[in-house]
Amino acid sequence: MEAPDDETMSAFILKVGSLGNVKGQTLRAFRPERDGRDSGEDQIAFLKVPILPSPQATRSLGEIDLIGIPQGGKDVGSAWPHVYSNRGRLTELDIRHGRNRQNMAPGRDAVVVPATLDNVRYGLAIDLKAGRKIPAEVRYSDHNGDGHLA
Amino acid sequence: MASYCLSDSVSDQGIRNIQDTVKRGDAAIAEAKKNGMKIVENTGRWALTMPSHYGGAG
Repeated sequence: MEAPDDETMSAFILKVGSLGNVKGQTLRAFRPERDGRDSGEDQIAFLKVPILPSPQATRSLGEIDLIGIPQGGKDVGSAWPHVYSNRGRLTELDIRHGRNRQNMAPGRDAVVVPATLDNVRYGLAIDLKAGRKIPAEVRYSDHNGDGHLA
Repeated sequence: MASYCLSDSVSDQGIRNIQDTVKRGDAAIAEAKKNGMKIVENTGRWALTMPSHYGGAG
């Protein structure tokens, strides 16, 4: 969902929840801007992962400055992110999908793959901070099939 | 506009009143629109089935 600000979103959720028919969790989401503008977020509570880096590039997330884009469309629904942290910093991320949990190949279509609290092995996802600022410009895969980002 | 992900589950009360789900959903959407909010994407059942299907953190 999109809302003008956190207060509006909180008011909406409280109103819906007060009826007692649903209970849930609301998480702030971040997505790369298609037009290359900065997302405006520096230290991101890294709960929503709008990226698909290659496995090679994400051994240490703090050392990369590229964002990969997962294949969009039907396969994304089964994607499952693995998020690892160490002392409150996001250290590793990969996203797999399918029956054999294979790594998802980089593609052109942006999509938000949620990482829930259950994904984080060593702590609460809401306490995680990205190792560095997410770059403003999203760079696309070179589609050479080896999983490296362009 | 800020983006948010919502993960909701139906409470016992909601299950008892399940026949009104569509009506309640429409009311919630109308309320959201009234407040300048927008539902960008509804992932449907995946949001609920992913954690159990894949067994949580790898």
